[in-house]
Amino acid sequence: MSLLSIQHITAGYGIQSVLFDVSLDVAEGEVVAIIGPNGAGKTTLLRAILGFIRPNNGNISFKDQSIVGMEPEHIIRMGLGWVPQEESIFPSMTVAENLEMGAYILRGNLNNRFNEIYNLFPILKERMRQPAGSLSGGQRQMLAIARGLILQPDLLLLDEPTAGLAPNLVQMMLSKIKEVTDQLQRAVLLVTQTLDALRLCQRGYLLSSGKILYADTTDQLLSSQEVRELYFGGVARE
Amino acid sequence: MADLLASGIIYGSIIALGAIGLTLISSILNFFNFAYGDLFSLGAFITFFFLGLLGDWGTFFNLSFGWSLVAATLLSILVMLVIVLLIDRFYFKPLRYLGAPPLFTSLASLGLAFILRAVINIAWGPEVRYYSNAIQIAKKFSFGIRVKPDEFFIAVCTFVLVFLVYLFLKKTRTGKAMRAMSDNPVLAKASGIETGKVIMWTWIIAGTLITIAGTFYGIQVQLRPIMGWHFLIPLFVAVIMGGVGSFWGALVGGMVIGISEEMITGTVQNILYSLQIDADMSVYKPAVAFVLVVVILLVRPHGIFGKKERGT
Repeated sequence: MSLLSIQHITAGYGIQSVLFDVSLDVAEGEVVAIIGPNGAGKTTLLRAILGFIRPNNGNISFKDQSIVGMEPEHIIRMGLGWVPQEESIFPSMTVAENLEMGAYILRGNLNNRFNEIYNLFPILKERMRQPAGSLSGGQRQMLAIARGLILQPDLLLLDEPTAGLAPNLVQMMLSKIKEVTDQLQRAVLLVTQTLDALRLCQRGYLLSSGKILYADTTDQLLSSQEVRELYFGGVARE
Repeated sequence: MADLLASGIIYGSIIALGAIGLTLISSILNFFNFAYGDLFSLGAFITFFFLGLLGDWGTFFNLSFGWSLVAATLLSILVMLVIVLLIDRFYFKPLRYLGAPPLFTSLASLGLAFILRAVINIAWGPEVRYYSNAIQIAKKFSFGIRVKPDEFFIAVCTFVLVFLVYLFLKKTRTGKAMRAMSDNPVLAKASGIETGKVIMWTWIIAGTLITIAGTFYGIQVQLRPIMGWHFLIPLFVAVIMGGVGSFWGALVGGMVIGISEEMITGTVQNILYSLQIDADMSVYKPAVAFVLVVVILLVRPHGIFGKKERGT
């Protein structure tokens, strides 16, 4: 059963369309990738799902309910989590306060949630009183993912979680994402430009110039020489 | 010199009160509210109105005013909260809904400033008003410092208010949501934070602080319809100097402006007086504020406590 279903959406900014007739599905517990070059419309697609952009055409449904026209704060309450590529934390707030804001819509005692997150990301527990803006790039990204996970969303949207990280941190971050997806069994829609991140996923969509060009299993996408050469520079970015 | 420092702290504390509200509006609602100075005047005049209704209830602690001014201020805060919430609902909210850029909203607030000033002029006239005509005797401290009971009251109340606002922003769920919204509005929305509720609380805090600041200014100086427009300069300078969106920046910025204006113009005035040159240096206070903000921004372009990054 589809958890997220996007059907033939066209969306953009003002009169400028960025996405054209895009359709995709994510099932419960599935890890799905959206790959594509810069400017393909990957982030715009996530913003449309979250309600920051209203599609001109088509429909987006989550848990069998149309979410087109809904405000982001209401969509989040339905069980969607988001980790943006940039500005993914509240820099002047402490690590603990960032997690609190991630869990803003929850009430009651959240100690168990916090402990689960600190078990997944022990470094965040050590830095819990530190302003998030003073964390290193990798630690910030961990905090961003932790903030997105604390709600235990049914679907987590991860927007290029390894972008801008040093090569050694990329591997660490990918293994952390794998650990999280294996452990929590949550559906993930992962936007990425790296082969290693694609390998974490079961299926993938290749987005280019606002259109879905390929939709296949990860193995098929990885074995496609055309995909590798066009969007990953051969094997250079493995 | 120490005497000027004491006056600067009192004046700075009034600026800081207003600047904290203004910095919250600037960072959470994402525009510079040029009407804030005239809201300062309006709050002070509404307090004056209620003071006239309530009459004289007697004074306490050798202050120039009594409990009736305290009650009038509380009533003024209530009326001002209704006014600012209505202004937001019918003036700024439609602009937000239409996606007006910050510059347009700031210009709209400038138009609102003129409207508010006209209302004050129509209601109370252009003449100078006072909460009290009582003469106060300043208490003498070491190093030649003299502080009037009213000034001591203003300083203590400001300290308590600033501490309460700090606690609200630091400890409460709504306060943290306001800081999150100020830090990164897109992420705040995507965290389920109710934008409308945060905006309402921003106006409540800003409206309360500016009413109290206006009343304190009226106690300390006098009431004139134009006073808020003039007060807008140190308010903006304090916010920009401290870093837009920074609570501590607004507090420190307000204090720096207040102390610098009083000490620099006061010292120059004393020198000119000793040279038997007749000049009123108080008219140069805004110039001091502007020079200071330019110097600080050259060293720290984002202000003393400013953030380099901001959500879009």
